[in-house]
Amino acid sequence: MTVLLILLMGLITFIIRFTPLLTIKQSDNAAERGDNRFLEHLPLAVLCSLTVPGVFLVDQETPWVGIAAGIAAVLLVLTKKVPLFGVIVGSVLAAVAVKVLYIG
Amino acid sequence: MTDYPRRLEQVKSGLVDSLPIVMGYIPACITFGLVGKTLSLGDLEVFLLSAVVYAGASQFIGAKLLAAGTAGPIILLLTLVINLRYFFISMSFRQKVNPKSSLWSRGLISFGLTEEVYAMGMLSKTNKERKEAHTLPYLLALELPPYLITLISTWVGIILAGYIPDAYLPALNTSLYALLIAIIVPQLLGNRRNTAICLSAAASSWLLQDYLGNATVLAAMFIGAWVGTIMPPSTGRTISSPGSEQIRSDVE
Repeated sequence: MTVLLILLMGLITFIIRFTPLLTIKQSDNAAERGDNRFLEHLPLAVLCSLTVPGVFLVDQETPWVGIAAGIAAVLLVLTKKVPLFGVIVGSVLAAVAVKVLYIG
Repeated sequence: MTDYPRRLEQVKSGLVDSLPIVMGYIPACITFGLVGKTLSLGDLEVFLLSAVVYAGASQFIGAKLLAAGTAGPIILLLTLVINLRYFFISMSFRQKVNPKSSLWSRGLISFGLTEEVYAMGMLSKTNKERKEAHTLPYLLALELPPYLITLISTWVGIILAGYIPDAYLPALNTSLYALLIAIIVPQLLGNRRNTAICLSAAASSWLLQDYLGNATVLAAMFIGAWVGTIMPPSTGRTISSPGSEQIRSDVE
C-alpha cells in the first residue's frame, strides 16, 4: 500500500515536471524569445528562496554550522580564484570545523 | 550534431557540470536514507522515495507523512503543492531544450530536472553565455550522474542507519547550499536588479515559512521573479566591479 502511494507520488511529480516540456516551440528558445522577463528571473529567485532560510536551518541544533558554511562559500566565491569544486569543499570544511568545536 | 567527437565533447562538458551536484547529493542522500530508516519506514520504501519521486526536500516531507500514517489522498495533495515549483522550473528550462527533441528524451530530461540540475543548466559559468538550447548528450550527461549517486547514496544511508553517528550529517549537507551560493553570488555583483530579486526572494522565503510551510518556495520564487519584472535593468552607473560588465550584458 505504502509502495503504491510512493509510486503515485512519483507519478504526480513526474507529470508536474513533464507537462511544460510537452510543447516546445521554436520561440521558446532564448535566441528568438521576446521579452519574457518573468521566466528569465525565475532561476535566480528559486535559488535564493531555497538558500535562505535553508542554510540557517540545515543544522537545527547548531545554527552556526550553516552560517559558517554560507559565509565561507560567499568569501571563496568573491576571491574569483577558487573553482566551484573548491568552494564546495571549503564551505563544507568550515561547517565541519564549527561542528567539531561545538561537540568538543 | 551527428559527428562522434562533438558528441563526446558535449558529454564531457555535461559530466564536468554534474560533478558539483554529485558532491552535494552524496551527504544529502545518505542523510535521507538514515532519516527514512529512523522514521521506521521499510528499506524498499525509503529507496523508492529517492528512485521514483527524486525531488530533494519534498522526499523528507513525504517520508515523514508516510511514517505518520497520513491518509493517501492528503499525501498526494501535499506532494502536488510542494512539487508545483517544478512546473515553473520546467517551464523556464524549456528554452534550453531542443524543440526537435523526441518526446522520450524530453521525458527523461524532465524526470531528472532537480533544482540543482536546473541551476547548473541555466546559470553555470559556461551556460550563462549559451543562448541556444542544450544538446541531448550534454543534458543526459548532466542529469544521469546525480540520479545514480542519489540511488547509491540512499542505499548506503539505509545500510548505515544505526551504525554511524549522525551528528555530522547536517554539516556535510551544507555542500548543497555552497553549490547554490556559488551559482548565485556572481549573478549579484554589480547587478542591482538581480540583487533585488535575490533579496526579495530570500526575505519572502524567510518571512513566509511560518505561515506557508511547505509551499514557501513556490510563493517566494514568484515574489522574487515579479520584483525582477518591475525593477529597471541595471545601468552603467551601478557599482562597478571587475567582470560586472560581462555579467550585465549576459542578463540584459
